[in-house]
Amino acid sequence: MTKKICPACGAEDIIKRKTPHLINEAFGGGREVDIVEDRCKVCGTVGDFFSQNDTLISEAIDQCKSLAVKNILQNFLSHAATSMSSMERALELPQRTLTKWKNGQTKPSAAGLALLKMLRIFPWLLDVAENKFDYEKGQRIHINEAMRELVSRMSFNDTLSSDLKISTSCNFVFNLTYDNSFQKGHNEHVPQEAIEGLSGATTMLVEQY
Amino acid sequence: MPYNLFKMFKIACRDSPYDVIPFKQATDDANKIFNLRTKKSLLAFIVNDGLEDLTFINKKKWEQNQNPDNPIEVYAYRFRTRAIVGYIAFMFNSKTEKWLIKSFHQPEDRNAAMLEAMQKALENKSLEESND
Repeated sequence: MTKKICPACGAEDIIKRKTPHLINEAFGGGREVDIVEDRCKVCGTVGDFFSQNDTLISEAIDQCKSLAVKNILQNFLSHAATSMSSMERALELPQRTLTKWKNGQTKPSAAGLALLKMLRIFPWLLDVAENKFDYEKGQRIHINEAMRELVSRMSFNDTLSSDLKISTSCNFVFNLTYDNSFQKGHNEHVPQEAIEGLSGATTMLVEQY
Repeated sequence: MPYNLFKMFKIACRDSPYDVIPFKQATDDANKIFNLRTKKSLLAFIVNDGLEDLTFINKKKWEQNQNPDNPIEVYAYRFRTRAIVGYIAFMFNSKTEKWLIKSFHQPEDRNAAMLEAMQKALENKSLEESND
């Protein structure tokens, strides 16, 4: 049997110990595994000198990835008004592919899992697929979603005159609402044409989609 | 010479991965910064030309070397992968015949390195445009 030596200095004085190592996977949670850590008492080098950890880590990553697939698909079924068959149709995947992934009958490839993660973060990509990946339509869907997200995060009260407030409904149509004082004509600083122009511009932008 | 050495290092990563050992800190940084979670994925990344715009920085004696009869030099390089500027340092021990990845992280002067990389890219672009 060959002696175990430090790969860095060649000394035989090696301490082996196990340390916890956390594997994290987006949407798949975390898993702790005990990995081997070799330490040379002579030169102080620390590492996995004899390649013992890769299998352990890979197995833990695989388990987390399986869980991520389940969680992502479960989330789609719970929150998005779409069925797996519809998703498969839009993405041109063979029918029951997603069901098999969810039940663990088959495993998605790394590319398949990356697609699922993308869809989990940007569910509107399904609409892009639904539109046969048409570039122009894809851009419009993207802009529309970006606007919707932006509006949901913005406080218009901070940026516009207190007399003028813009709100948005969830079907992406912008509405202009006025304070009572504005409607009564007390504010003369914002011309009516400007309001109408603003209203028209936003509505036109949204209607393009 | 430094670039020939890197080629030899790459060949070792491809043909004899058991003879390439990353230090624990290098493994941790590869995982944390570059999303390379296993030694296998780290070596595959190196083999498949993942280290773009590789630039030799310097070579230094390995400070922890306890054997003066066997001098070991650490070679350091800068690289880029997408928008991340990285730093790799490795060494070869001719006695044990092992390659060791000492560091695999972002350089301490990464802002300056990024600026340099961007300037280089811009220069290349303007050269291409002038050729057109």
